[in-house]
Amino acid sequence: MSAEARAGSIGPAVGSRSNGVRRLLGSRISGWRHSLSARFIVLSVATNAARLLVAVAILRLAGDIHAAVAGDMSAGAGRAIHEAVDRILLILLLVVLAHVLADFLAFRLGRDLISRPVARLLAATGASAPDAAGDPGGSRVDALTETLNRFRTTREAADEIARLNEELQDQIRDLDSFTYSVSHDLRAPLRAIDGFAQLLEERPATTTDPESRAYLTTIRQSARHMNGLIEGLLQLSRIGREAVQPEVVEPADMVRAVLEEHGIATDPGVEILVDPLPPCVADPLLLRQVYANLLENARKFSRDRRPARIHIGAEAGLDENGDPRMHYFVRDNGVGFDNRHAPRLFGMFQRLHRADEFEGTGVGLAIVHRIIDRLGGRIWAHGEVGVGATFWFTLPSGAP
Amino acid sequence: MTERLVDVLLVDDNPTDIALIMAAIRQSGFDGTVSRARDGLEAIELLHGTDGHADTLRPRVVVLDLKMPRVDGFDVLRQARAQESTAWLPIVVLTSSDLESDVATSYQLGTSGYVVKPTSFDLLSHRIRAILDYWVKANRSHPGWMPR
Repeated sequence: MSAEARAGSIGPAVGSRSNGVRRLLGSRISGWRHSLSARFIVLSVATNAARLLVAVAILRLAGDIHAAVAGDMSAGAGRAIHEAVDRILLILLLVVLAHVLADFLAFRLGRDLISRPVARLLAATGASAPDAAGDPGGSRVDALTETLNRFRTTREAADEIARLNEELQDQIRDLDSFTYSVSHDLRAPLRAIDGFAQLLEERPATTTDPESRAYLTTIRQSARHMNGLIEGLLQLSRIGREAVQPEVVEPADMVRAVLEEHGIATDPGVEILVDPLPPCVADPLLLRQVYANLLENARKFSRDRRPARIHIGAEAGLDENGDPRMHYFVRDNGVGFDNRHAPRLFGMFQRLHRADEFEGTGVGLAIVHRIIDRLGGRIWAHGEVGVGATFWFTLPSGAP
Repeated sequence: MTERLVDVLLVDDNPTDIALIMAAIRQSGFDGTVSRARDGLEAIELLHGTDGHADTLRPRVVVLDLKMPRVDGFDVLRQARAQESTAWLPIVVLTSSDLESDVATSYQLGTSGYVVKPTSFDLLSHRIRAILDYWVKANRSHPGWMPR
């Protein structure tokens, strides 16, 4: 068998000659065996091209040895075996050294690339960082393990928060769509009640009986009131579902438009004062709704005053973090309210006045509150019985 | 297979709504013929016949509710538009939903119109009158315009 032919058939030959090689090498490398054999196996299967070349070289040498053993067992052959084994050992030694060096470099790189940023991270989070210049042995490994564990805990906590947040968003969406479908399903019977009451009103038997007419009037009024409540629910759920499209808004223009549209500007019984209002960032449609509800409220609760006064303005104030923030307000000189009840004002279907004093569904301010919430602002109110009420709100600033 | 001609096919699952719409139709002074289907499946069976041998109903206009059990209004539109005999049949959606997605889907599926059921009976009556005036009267005065 020529050397070329053997070289071309390294693979299948390995198994048959490995026993002989091992026997030959056994006595001289026994001291290395445990540490080396594992590394040799690892190296021989490594995808690293250089290491594969080394493995190939070793196997070719083994082939030489095999040839020598199979041939004449002369002194020349024996010398060839020793030389071959020496070469194998030398190569093995170089390979092992290279591997150790690679391990060392990996360790250094690992320390520099991983543990230093980790130390910096730990320092940044306020935890005690392992000393980078200190003992690089066990304590560093312990510190790294501890750090990784802490990272895992922090990450798990973050994941948990994200999961809960998603769950909450889902529930809000569910609630909104529930409100929406309930509102729609509630409308159908209401339509029937109002419709048939009207049909009954128009029948001859009813037109001649005043009591029947009175009952039917009550039925239809109640149906209309319930319709108002449902409309409110629908509006409220719409605010929750629809996307907010914020832009820089000039509230003064908006206030004037609302006053015109709702006939407040032309009401001779109302004195209106509109201060200059700084721009803010808000969804114009939603902010318009805020002003519409607040101004309608102001007019409603001051309609017995002569004259009724509505003051729209803004004052420089602070936000909850103590940063400067514009406080927009709508003030009236109406019946006002007891400040102890202020927190209840913005609740859904909450009313502070009897239905026979002031009509309403208790939806308007809940909607205002929800809108301001969505726009990223805050709303509160101040009232005094018989003197009037002021509604304040903040919005993200529109100043450049 | 014979065709039975009516003016209106009213498809709604809610009996009180049907009664109310019928009252509104009467009040609007409409004197045409009205057939009723209690859900989408019944409507499709009336329009396309069952197993190909029953009579089919040929309305001048279908007034269609959206939210119904078994087969809903969207499915009625889908199936009606997929079949040649009803591909161009005037179908007007009459529903309590004013959801933008419902309006968009209805038009995508080929509705001829979309009307929201109002709470007020008078408004309902006006709206129904408008639907019937447009589709039934137009069809009566120009009987040949609708592809068969």
